[in-house]
Amino acid sequence: MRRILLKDARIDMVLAADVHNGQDMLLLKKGVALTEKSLRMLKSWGVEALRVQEADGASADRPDPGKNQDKIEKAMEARFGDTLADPVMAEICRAAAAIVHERNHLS
Amino acid sequence: MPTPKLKAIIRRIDDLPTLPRTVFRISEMINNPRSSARDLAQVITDDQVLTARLLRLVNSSFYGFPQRITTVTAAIVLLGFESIRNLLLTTSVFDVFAGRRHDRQKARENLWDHSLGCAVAARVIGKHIRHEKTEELFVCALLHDIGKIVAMVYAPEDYDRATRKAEQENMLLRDAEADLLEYTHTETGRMLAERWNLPAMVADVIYYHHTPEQAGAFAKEAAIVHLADIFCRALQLGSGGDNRIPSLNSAAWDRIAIRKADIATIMTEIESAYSDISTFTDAATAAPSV
Repeated sequence: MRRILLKDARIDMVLAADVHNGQDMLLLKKGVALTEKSLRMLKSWGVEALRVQEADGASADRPDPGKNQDKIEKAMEARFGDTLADPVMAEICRAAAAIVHERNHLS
Repeated sequence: MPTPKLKAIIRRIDDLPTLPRTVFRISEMINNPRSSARDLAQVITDDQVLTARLLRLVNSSFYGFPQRITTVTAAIVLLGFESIRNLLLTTSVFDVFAGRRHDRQKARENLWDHSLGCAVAARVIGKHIRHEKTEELFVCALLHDIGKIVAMVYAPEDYDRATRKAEQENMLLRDAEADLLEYTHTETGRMLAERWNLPAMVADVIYYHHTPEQAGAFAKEAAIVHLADIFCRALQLGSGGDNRIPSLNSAAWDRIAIRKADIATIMTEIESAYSDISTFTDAATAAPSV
């Protein structure tokens, strides 16, 4: 078990302890895997830190953020397909990739 | 002229849940300039479920009021008539999405997230261009894909075939529907809106959100929802059953008249507003044992 700041929390990390808000209301139970939605929810409740289970072996390695951004951009461009010929769509694609990257890192 | 298949769905649509009567009564009261906060509170408190939800919502982190709000009248005074209507409509529509059956739960949740994302996006776009009716835009966008729910409930095999084709061939669900079926979700959605006696603007925006230039008097509103749909798909806020991003209708883009340089700012604002509102609807609808 390790204690991490919410900004370092990632999707699929598994909670090692229940998470409560400031009024002691239970927000998420121990054993639950974090999702994009639950990270947003914790952020909106002002949760700053949580306890998560240790990841095993190689999966504990952090992905390189630069590489990750490349991956997001590539996937985004694939979804836009031939609409990217339109400069407005190209701008929407670029903006969306930046926002999704930021969301995944919650920093 | 409706095809036989569409007619069969029309017959069954009578079974689809109606919006609670209270929401209609509230809408009428809000449109009447002589209604007071006290009159409105009376109607809401007649419905215990809505009352409980309303109080839960205004006390959620989304609004962040420092003190606990315990009466419906106080909630109305603090939030205003329009916000109350939006809020009640949003939670009532959620009931329709939630349904009673457990199958396709994930698809419904994804569609709900997509609809809420579009509603938020349409409001953000509306505010940016100073549209006079941002609350109505919210409602139009919230309901733009409601026809997909009709298909999920009353023609699940059709819906599965269309989503499968859309996925395999990387096409829009509407194009897959047009190829395979005798109707599309824009037609079933408009039928439902008419059955719910929703305003013409809502019914037309639902019908024309893929072809906004044909929406006549509501071409601008249809254009805004069309763009909101593209923004939401790009930001991956939920899913409407297909993964493809529709191409931008250039007439719609010209009509809305947003500067290309403002796109990133608007999308960032959508991301932030969605994050807030999706938390508040989770709070409104989640089971007590979250």
